[in-house]
Amino acid sequence: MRGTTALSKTERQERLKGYLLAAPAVVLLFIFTVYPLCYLIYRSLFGGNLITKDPKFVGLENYTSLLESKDFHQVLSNTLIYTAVTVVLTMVLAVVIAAWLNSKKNRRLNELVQTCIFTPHIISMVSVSTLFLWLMDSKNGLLNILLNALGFESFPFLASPDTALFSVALVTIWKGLGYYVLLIMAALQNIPTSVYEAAEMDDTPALKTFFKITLPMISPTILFTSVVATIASFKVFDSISVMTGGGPLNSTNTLVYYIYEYAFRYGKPGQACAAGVILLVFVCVITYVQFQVSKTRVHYQ
Amino acid sequence: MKRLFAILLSCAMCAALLAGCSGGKSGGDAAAGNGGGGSDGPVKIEFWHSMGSSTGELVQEIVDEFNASQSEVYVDCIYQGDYTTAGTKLQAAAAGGNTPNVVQVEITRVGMYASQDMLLDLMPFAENDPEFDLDAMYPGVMDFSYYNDQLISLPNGRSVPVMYYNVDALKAAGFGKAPETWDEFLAASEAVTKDGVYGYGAPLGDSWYYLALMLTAGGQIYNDEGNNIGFHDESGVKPLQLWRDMMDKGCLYIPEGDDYASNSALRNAFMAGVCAITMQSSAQYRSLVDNSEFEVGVAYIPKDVTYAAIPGGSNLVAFTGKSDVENEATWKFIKYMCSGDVAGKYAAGTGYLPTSDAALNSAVYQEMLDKYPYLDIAVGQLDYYVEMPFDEAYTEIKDNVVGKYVQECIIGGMSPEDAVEHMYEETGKFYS
Repeated sequence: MRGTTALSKTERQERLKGYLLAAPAVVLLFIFTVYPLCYLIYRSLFGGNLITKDPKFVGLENYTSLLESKDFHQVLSNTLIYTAVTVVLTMVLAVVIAAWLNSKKNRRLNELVQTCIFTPHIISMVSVSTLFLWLMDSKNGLLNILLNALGFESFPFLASPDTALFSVALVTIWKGLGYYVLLIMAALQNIPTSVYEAAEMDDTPALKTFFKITLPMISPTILFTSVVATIASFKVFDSISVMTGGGPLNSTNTLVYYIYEYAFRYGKPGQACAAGVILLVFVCVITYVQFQVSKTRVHYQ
Repeated sequence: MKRLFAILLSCAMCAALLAGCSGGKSGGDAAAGNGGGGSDGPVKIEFWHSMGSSTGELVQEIVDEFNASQSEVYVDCIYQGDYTTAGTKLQAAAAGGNTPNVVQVEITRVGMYASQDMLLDLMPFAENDPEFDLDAMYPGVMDFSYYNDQLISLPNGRSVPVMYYNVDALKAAGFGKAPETWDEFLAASEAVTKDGVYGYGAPLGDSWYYLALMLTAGGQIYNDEGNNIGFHDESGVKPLQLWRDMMDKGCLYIPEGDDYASNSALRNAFMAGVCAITMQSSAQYRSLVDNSEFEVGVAYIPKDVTYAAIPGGSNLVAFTGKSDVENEATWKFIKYMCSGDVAGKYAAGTGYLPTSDAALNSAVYQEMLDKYPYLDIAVGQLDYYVEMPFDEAYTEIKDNVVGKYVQECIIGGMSPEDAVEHMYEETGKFYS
């Protein structure tokens, strides 16, 4: 039919070219994102183990058993606490350290500190975890020997369910801090000096300058880094796997580790997929909230 | 951006599943194709094992000797991490239809593959091979070998938990010999405890040792109906009470880490003299003796009412879906691994059970027995072997129910009675 919407030959070719160029990305997205996502939801409705040939359809049973499980509730709260602790501490420390390093005094010392802080970022997490497993040993670990030498009581670190999650978070913060400091320092250096000069002429106190000028000017970077840090803490796996295996008493078991354990160790991929779907929902909600909050708080130049 | 991440994350974990499900049919043929062209060289087969450090070197040495001894079969020997890690990899491989030929599988995981008809029936090979005598194997270690009248596995590195003790430390505390009963065990642990040295070290990440003590208190792993724990009584409570008593007296050492990591941490503590008594697999005997600076004593798990030994370790299994040529090669290798001299050498180098009289009487084993007098401790325990059923849920029950409530009781402060009650309730759910 030749209507008003009919396209000329060249125009059609132009459009076809567009589709062709987009095709590789679309195909990859379908194969590696959309299809697995659908399969994740589909598989979460079945029982059986990884090698069962015909898994049984169980409906929402995997979800109900997850939601009824006290262990899973704990896993969810562990994940949230861990994320909150690492993201907040990392952000606060990163901003403070970056601001300090960015000041023009003690250039030599600053360079040294910067190197020291950044180095952990390039070490593999597994090595770092193994190292801290020794350092944090509750009885013979170096950290406790130091604490004792300074006259403090021994700290149980990974041995007690009350402190284990915090200890794992501490390692993550130690390792990740340098990377975030680097990003925030880059943002700090982009703030035009004229703004500071104006503040100086008005005799603005240093603290006020920091909160009224520095922070708003780097807020887009803080948003970006906090998003990245949240992502990283949601997917925490290697340090948990090496240092605690989710213990003691399930106190360091987080969502991704839980998914791994149920899929591969206990042979219940259905339940693991159900937990995967819950993780997906979780991350969607948190992302939404984070972006809503940031809309009102982030200042773009 | 974060949404995208979440999707990607879910995909990543799904990818393995996907690869598995879609590749299931073609995998077998592909594997068969690889080995088919054996006419112009040795048949290549793949062997996965779970032995690290010095034991791993011994396995490699044994395989190298096999490869050098003949030119028809070449075995590619691959270390896949501890039993848990290797179990994960094998499941992924099985789901992808890409299984190796021979695998050292931890005994309680054998049933899972057998129930899916994935294991090669070795019976025809064993029956038609005049060089192999199935009846020569010790019956005690053949407990995970038969499934629906098929011979699905043969014993390889089989072990039982035993008690190791620091002879020097116990002597100094006035104990000239190993504790035999729980009372002596508690008394000795208390006596050796002094600043920086603990009496007894228990890995809470691995419930094998709790179960071992429970058995000596007269319990069973499963009840007679096979649908719940067999220690929903005093036998389950007593070991927890014992450990609690030790903790109250400050003589219980609890290593950090989970699963096999807690075991290796415990062995390090024992070798460093931090804890004077511990329980570990009999397979650790050589390594503990060779790496400790004090005299290491070995004894049965002390008894409350009876001696008992809980089976452990691994069997060799072969997977189906390979060509006949490969299966022949696989049998040749398994037969070699089970032969008296090789099994004897393996047992002599570790502390694993010799699996037959031929292994026990082999020159290499007897020679080592002169040097390490307790090497055959596990052999005596064969008389007290308990049977365990093939049960898919066992791994989860062992870790997530029994192990969890042992920790709840010792670290979390739950009463031993409540802990066992919870184990009973939660295990029941698996079979309802």
